Amino acid sequence: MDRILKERYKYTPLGRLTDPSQAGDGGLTPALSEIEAEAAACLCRKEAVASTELTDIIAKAQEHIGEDPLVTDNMDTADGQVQGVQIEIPADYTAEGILYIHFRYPETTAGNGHKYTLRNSVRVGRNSSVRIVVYHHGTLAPQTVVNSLTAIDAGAGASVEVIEVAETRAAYFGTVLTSAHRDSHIKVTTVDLDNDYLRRNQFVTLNEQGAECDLEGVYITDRLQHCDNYVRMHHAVPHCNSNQLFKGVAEDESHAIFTGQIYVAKDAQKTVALQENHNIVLSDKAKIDTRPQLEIYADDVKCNHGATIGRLDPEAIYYMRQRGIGIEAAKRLQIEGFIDDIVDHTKIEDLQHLLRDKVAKRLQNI
Amino acid sequence: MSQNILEIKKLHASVADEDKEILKGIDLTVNAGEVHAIMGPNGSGKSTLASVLAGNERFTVTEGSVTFSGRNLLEMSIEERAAMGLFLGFQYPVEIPGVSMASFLRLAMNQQRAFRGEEPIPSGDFLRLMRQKSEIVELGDKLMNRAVNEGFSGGEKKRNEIFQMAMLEPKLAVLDETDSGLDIDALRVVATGVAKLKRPDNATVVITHYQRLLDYIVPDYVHVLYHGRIIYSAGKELAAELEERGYDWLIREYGDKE
Repeated sequence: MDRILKERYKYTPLGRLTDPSQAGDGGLTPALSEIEAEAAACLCRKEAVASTELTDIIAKAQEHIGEDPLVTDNMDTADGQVQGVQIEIPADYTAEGILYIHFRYPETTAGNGHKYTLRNSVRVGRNSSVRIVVYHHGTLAPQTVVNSLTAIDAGAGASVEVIEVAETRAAYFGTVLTSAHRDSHIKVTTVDLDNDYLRRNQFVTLNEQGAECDLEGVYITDRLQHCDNYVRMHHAVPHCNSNQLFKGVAEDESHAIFTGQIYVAKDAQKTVALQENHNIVLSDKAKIDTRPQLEIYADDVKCNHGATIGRLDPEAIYYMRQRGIGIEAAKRLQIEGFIDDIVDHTKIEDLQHLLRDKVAKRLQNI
Repeated sequence: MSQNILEIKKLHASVADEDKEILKGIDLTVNAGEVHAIMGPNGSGKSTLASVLAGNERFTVTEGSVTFSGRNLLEMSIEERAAMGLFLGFQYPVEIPGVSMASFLRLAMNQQRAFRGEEPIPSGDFLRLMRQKSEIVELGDKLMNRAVNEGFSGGEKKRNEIFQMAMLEPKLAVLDETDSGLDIDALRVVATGVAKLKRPDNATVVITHYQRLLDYIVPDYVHVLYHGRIIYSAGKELAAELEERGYDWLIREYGDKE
């Protein structure tokens, strides 16, 4: 692995992607057509994208990210062993409501390692808009491996919102390749609730002027879980905005990582690129790493970043207890409040209810 | 004789993990229907007394006893004291980002109810109660969907304390310098709010620096706290006298005897 990749995967070795013995025993067999994909029919085809269809997109991304092992592993998997969905929104079309896609993984037992490769695409025509929720459900054994690649392409003036919820209990590897054209707006929200080992790369390219990208994320880890979100925001041209807001909560001996790279090319003047990462550690042994990485070659830009790692606020806990709220409930309420802005920003009431409910349930077990 | 709500005897307390004693033998009896004012110069231990009653873990009780509604208060957890009807109005109300007033109060109410073996409050009743009680402190609906105390002005925070008191209907409210930092209008709203909540079966302990609050909340007793002890107690006329003469004359006569 060259130096860049070493740095990119500093905290998250990829051994488990190909060798499940690192998580336990048992062989890793590709699993076929076992995932249930539920989705509205007309805009969405339940069929994985053929690798050849993504060649151009990936070649373009590789110009600035180089070769990435997660992408390679995904693309090298034969099309016949890949599952996924393709969402195609024609030009000048407003998709009403929310397009829900549920990937339901079958239950697996320990010692039985399966590998699921998913390859999805979201192509949104000019001036169209769509909101998509992709939910990975699973009660998988930690030996199970998921490698999911999603390519998002927003046409000029398009508005695309994708919310990805990962609750697999397995090793989840994800890549989101996002390409934003003129005056388009893309928002990707990730919610990582309960995964044994997670690594997600988001490679965003702001290709044409006026493009805007917001990335938000929540991650909650406990026990020995590992959760690593990696962002590379590539400002290739002038007058683009980007915004990153990630919040994490780590309990027990878990380890959560956030890396936010902002790259501003030499010509990308008037770039506005913001980034925030805030974390709460709940125990002495939980670990958080946060790495803002700014590479700026233009001189007329506005780039901010901020990162915090803290504990629950004892004064707030005391205040809540004085009102009669038990100590455990007070802690949970504070954590829910801490991440609530990200849930709130999804602006979809049904989804807010769902996420609040999921988060509350998750915290019950912490 | 009216029902006894709070009985403090020879209470000593220190900052936890330190030798520094702050309360040095407090005796105080509060009966139902009474309003007590505790006054005294800065650093005399007024806020510490409030904190110790609420169960703040920054302080350790080293001696003495506190009985609340016939039970040993010092054995109870912070939330248990609250469920039993002890309310502390904070001098500096805490902000809780991301937690709406409504969900915070609903949880508080229901946890108190659960502790007392009561059913949770039905949603409709809760909302009605919120509307009703917010009028007492002239808060209106606007703060209800905002995060607890976040971005509230100083006056709004204090009014919010009284609003919560109105919602939770405590048996004993200890108001820790609720008047500090209030302009005259806010002071009037807060004070009349407290006065409206007075009932024959509850009691209020008002900790304050200034007599002006006591123009609205007329105390039955005024106590002067100095160096961790109540050095002097009298009726409501004492407050006016303190305003005029300060504390020095009392301290000279009754302060630090040892």
